[in-house]
Amino acid sequence: MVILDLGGFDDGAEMARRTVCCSLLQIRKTALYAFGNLIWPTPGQSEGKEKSDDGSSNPAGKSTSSPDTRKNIRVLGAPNGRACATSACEICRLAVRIDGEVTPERVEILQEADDIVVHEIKTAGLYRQICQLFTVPFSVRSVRVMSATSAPTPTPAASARSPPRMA
Amino acid sequence: MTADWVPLPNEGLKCISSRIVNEVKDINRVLYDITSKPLGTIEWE
Repeated sequence: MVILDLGGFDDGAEMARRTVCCSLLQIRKTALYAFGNLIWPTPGQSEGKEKSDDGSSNPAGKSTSSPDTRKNIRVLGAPNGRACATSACEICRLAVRIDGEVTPERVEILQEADDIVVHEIKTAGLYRQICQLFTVPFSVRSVRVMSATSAPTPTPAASARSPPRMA
Repeated sequence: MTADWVPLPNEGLKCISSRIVNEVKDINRVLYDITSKPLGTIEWE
């Protein structure tokens, strides 16, 4: 296997990471042959997805996916029938962050939280200034009790229509 | 080489936390990692 000429440290751990990276690239290449009808997004397609998010009540509103692609994705999709990601690539992108078992429910929770973070960062005009940002679901549990004041309440429906602006 | 965390504006953090807790099912706490770490060690495992 060819180790890519990546920058970074030359210690054992870094070499291990490079090997993993090359393995993932190899898997992707294999998947391209095996699932020829999957559309792998190119950079910039996510912008189109952002625009189509307004039609969340319409499951077919993901304009960047062909019907064939959506059919394939739905196998991995959320139980409510809504495709939980616009592409296999996005599912992988989210799934690698999940500690433990990867289930459609956990992918959906992560996707919703990630969408909020990315949306708010974009709204604040910081998206292009940040090198890397990602959302990670913890496997540890937290006490569910919430105070009425700790969660200033834009109602979910209202905030979905007009997300609060950041200063 | 170290990747530094971004000092996001407080209003933005408040907004993200409030929206996630209110809108995402089963999420009731939001944490922001403010650790500067070398590249390639940032991911959680």
